[in-house]
Amino acid sequence: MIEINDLNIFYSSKQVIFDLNARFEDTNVYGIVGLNGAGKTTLFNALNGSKQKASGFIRHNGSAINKNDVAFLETHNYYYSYITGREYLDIFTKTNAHFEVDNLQKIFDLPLDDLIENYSTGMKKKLALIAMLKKDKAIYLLDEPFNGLDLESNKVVEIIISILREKGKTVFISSHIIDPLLKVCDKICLLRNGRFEKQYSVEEYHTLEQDLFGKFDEEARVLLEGSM
Amino acid sequence: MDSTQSYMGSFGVLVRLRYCQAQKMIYELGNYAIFLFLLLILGIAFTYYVHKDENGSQKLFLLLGLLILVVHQSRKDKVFVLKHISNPYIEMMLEYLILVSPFMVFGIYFLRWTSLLLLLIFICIIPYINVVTKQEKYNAFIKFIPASLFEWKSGVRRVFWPFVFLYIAAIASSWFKILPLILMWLLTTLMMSFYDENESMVILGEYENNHTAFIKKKIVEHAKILLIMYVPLVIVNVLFNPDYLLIDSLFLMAQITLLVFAITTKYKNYVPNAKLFNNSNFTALMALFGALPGFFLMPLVLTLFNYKKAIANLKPYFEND
Repeated sequence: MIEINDLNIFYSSKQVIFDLNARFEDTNVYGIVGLNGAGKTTLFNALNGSKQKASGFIRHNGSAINKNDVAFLETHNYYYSYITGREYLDIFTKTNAHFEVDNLQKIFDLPLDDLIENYSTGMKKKLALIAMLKKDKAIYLLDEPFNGLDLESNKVVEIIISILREKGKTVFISSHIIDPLLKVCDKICLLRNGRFEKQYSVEEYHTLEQDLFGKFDEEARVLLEGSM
Repeated sequence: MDSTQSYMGSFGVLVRLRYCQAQKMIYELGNYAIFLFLLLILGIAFTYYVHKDENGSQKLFLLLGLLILVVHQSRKDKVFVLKHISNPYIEMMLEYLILVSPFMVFGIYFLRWTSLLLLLIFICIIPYINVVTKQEKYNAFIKFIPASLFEWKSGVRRVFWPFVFLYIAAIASSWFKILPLILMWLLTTLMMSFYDENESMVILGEYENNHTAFIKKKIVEHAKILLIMYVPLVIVNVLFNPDYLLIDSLFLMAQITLLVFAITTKYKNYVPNAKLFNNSNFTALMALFGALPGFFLMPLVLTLFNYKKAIANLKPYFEND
């Protein structure tokens, strides 16, 4: 189980996460949704241990969450220049005994011996995803995994997530697009202004869009109607 | 729009661009720019004595040729220059000529016409050589570098030909006294440029969980590859010049210090996913200091200082709470 207690995070003097409390069961897939600036990436960075907390703690099975527990797919994937895809994958030690790069390459159709700077955004995302799968971790954080991917690759990501669940992993996914989350998540948490507003079970998904966009929808409509 | 309209028109545009870039760099360097300027003046004055001796003059012209080769091979704007500058080859020639001319002045004064002519021919040819390289071609060579040394994989691929050329030249001249040391020093300067880029957090935490252990391991691994490359050359150099044992030993230590200086500078300023090109200004400056008698201890002192700073800077990235 992952427990977050009284978590507060700042960027300089600006608070981004406010007294966050939550409990996440193991072997579930959690979707984290929120409008821009809600604190999704900051929360992921805190779960990954790459963002210092002002106060509060995050525990995994009773002890402080450790980087060794977590595999992280970042929103924007940065690669060292003049490196090929294969060389990038080689940097990571294989801890997932089932990892087969050739099979994944076949599915994702990546030119692994080309320089990464020649890759498209989607290809870079796929490469980061493959690198992440090389690790056997208890928790997988996928920040915007569907960004920049083609339709087939979106489907592959959905399959990967379901396989991770079957393997007993806990998966967190953030996305600006709600539809794929509805398909793969066991629960979805709505993050608004650095706080969890509500957790939705599958049966409650139909209310999610209204809760997320309701007020925004009305405000945008008023503004747009006045200027179009 | 007609494609020719996108060309940047008048002659010398590239030189003017470089002038603006130099101004920006001088501004960013702050007080270091004065040191750099003084070093440049010292360097130019020093060429007076080098050109005075015909043998020395030839070697200097050779070094200038190598410098142009390194610059040409490693520059990233070749495609841009070809696409957008109206006389790309002449512009590149002009650039290289301006780059090396301060060091040629005393060669003209001492009438070293043959070397000068050869260098000018080289400057005319070089812009046409290897303009766009498909760097994947080097994969077969680069696979021998261990995966964890990704800075080297990236760096060697970026400056592949100058790197190989300098190393082969150092091997070929290893029984001479000073020349192989100069070539190895140039090679070290190239290696120091491998550390301008900062890896992502995902890579940073891959091999170690502790910041101090991380930096120690990094230094040991990278110093090892430098030693693997240099020790055979130094041994040959000492075998042919036994009186150089102390000089060669000190030289080897100085090269390791310079490499460690580049590594610690990188992690002193580490920010995930950033390219810190200012690092190379400082590391190049230190490489120069490392070569100057009386200043050679400076990189060592700054390395120790940087080491502490690097550990402090890396700490938050390795902490879990």
